[in-house]
Amino acid sequence: VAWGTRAMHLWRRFRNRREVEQELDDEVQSYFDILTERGMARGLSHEEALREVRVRFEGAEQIKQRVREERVGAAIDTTLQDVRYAWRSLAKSPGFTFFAVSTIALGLGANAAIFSMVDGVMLKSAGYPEPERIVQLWEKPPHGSRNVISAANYIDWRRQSQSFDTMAAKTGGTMSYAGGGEPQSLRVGFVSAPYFRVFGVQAALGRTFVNDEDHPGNGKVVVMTHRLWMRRFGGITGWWAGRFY
Amino acid sequence: VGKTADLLQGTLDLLILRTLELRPLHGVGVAERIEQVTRGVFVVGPGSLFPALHRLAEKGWIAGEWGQLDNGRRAKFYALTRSGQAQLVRERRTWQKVQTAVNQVLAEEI
Repeated sequence: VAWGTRAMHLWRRFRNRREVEQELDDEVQSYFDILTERGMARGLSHEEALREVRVRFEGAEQIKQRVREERVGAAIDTTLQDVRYAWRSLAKSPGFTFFAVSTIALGLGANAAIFSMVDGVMLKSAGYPEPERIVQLWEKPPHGSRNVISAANYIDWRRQSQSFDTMAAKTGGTMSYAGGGEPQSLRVGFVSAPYFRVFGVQAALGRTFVNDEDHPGNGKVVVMTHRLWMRRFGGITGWWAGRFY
Repeated sequence: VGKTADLLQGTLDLLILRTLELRPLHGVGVAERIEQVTRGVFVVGPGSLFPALHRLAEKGWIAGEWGQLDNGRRAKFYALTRSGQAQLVRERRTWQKVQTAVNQVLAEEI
């Protein structure tokens, strides 16, 4: 019951802050005016009456402050005052503000960067099953760190290795697609047939590569990403008369 | 000017409610009336009167409204609300309980 009235007062005060303050000001002023008039009615001059009131009671500003502290939500008021004060202080010393803000920004940025790395590498699932069983193989020359693997070496590795379920080769590149409209440059990967088996994923539509499809003399086959399919082909299934170069 | 008694915590609320029970008054009126009735024992300065008035108004026990004095001066008049009347009844009862209790302690034979 009582808090309904309180909530109403609180609401009114935040909606019409200036008005409420003005009203409090008027009220306290009217109080002192009436006291002064009473003094004058007792035969004092205006100055004497004013002085008497001033000597007897605390100042208007103190009274208003006490009322503000007594109101509901005084803590919210105080917090807002603190925020305004902090803002003014910061605005007054831009050098300090600059360093404080950059320090916090750098700290936050570093944190976010490290977290996204940890998240991406350690926490987020890879999107395919058993990512911990998938490794990347490189060839190391005697006096270097890595080099490109020849196709023949890959074929030997695959044939002779007993440590891996399956092995696929991949290299990157770009191709162009032309089939109505502007020809488009696409980032592609050239992969051997078992590529999708390594990751244990199926095509959402159609099929991925079948065994030996990567042998010379067989037709050229592409697997499209969902994004490209949606963007370039409007997500429509069927045949397209187009060419990849 | 003699020494005035310190107001007990919460007593001011009771005094204000009781004073406004008779008729609506502005701030100066409330303070004067309390001072007169208590024959100067309680002098309520604006520093305690205003916070108390606003506190009571927020609780919905009194309601303030701007009005005019005979000489045309604007002043805020406070009136007791219906829930204020109920509160006054409760505070009266509490006060009588406290008074009786304190009197018993004081009257106790040693």
